Amino acid sequence: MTVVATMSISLDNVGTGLHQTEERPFGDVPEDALHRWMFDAPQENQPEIDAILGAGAYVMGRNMFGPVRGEWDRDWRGWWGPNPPYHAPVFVLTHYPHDPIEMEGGTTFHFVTDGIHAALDRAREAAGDLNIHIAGGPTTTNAYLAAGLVDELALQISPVVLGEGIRLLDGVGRLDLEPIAIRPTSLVTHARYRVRYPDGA
Amino acid sequence: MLIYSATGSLDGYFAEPDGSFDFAFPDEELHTFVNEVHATIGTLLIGRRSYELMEPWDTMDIETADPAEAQFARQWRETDKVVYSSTLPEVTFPRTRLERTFDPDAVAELKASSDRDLGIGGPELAGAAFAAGLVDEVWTFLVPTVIGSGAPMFAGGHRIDLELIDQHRFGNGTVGMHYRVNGTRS
Repeated sequence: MTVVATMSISLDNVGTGLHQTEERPFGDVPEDALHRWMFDAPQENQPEIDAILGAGAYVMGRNMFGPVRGEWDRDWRGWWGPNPPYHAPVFVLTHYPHDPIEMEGGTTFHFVTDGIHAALDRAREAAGDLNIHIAGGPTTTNAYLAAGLVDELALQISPVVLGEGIRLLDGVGRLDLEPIAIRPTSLVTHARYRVRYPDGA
Repeated sequence: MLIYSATGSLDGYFAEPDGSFDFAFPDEELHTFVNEVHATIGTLLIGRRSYELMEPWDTMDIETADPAEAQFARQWRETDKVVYSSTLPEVTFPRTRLERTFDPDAVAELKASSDRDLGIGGPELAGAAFAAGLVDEVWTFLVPTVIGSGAPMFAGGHRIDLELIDQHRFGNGTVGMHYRVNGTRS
């Protein structure tokens, strides 16, 4: 079982923008800037889309799940409609307990209040032989990288420099990477790396 | 055409906080490729720091250098250099002139009147060129390492819309990406 961090980023590593709202899931980053490849050229990028959505379990941060902050004071079921693309258990990191939300198509959102290790443990139990994906956003993925818990990094690098936003790889310390697969398509560069932590972990 | 070419870490840094960039030293294969990328450049625009770092290329013994370094030194000596610095008293290298400020109009004129391409070195200077909409193409060489902090490859906080036109993967794990610049917004 491999723990893979997957994320669509700009050439300057921005994974999402500041000032997220319900209307703007990526905040100040224009919605199409980092994900246009997925919507405008799905066939060309099908192997990577299949890989991103092929995990046995997912872990994501609360801001990736939704715009609600603090207590869960309203019904929120993610950005993805009644049938999210994950079709597997999704473990959402939060400080505020919430009952699991079962969606159509096999996706269930579970809410984990005791930290990133606990969420990964639960994802491990749920994933069976399949991979676990750390789905983002960048703050969550950086926490997993800094803790030495990520085996592979699967990036989709869009041809844009954004200049500001929340950056992947910020504060993760030193890492050595080994490319596994690099594939350019017309709208994005897919770059998959094995992560080597300096202490050999 | 004005080309910005930069080697950096996967987390987007051109140099360590102390200015060193040992992590980015190219091997023979990468150096040979970078030489080819730079071969179309007739005039190179650089800052004071680059000017000071580049001195060995003017003084080294080409006969005893390894082939990629010798080729780079030859190209360097055949390239006209414009150094931007408000503090350097003078420049002493051949084919080199000093400018006190980065004047976008003058660079646009130079670009229009040059038979060969212009290159720009260093993220700060490149940031000024991006801000003025003067950069036509970008080569980034991403080294497979995360260094955590330092000087970013893209300075100035501009949004730059690019289009991938070529890509190259090297034996040492570095990935080179060649982009056309479609627009810059501050």
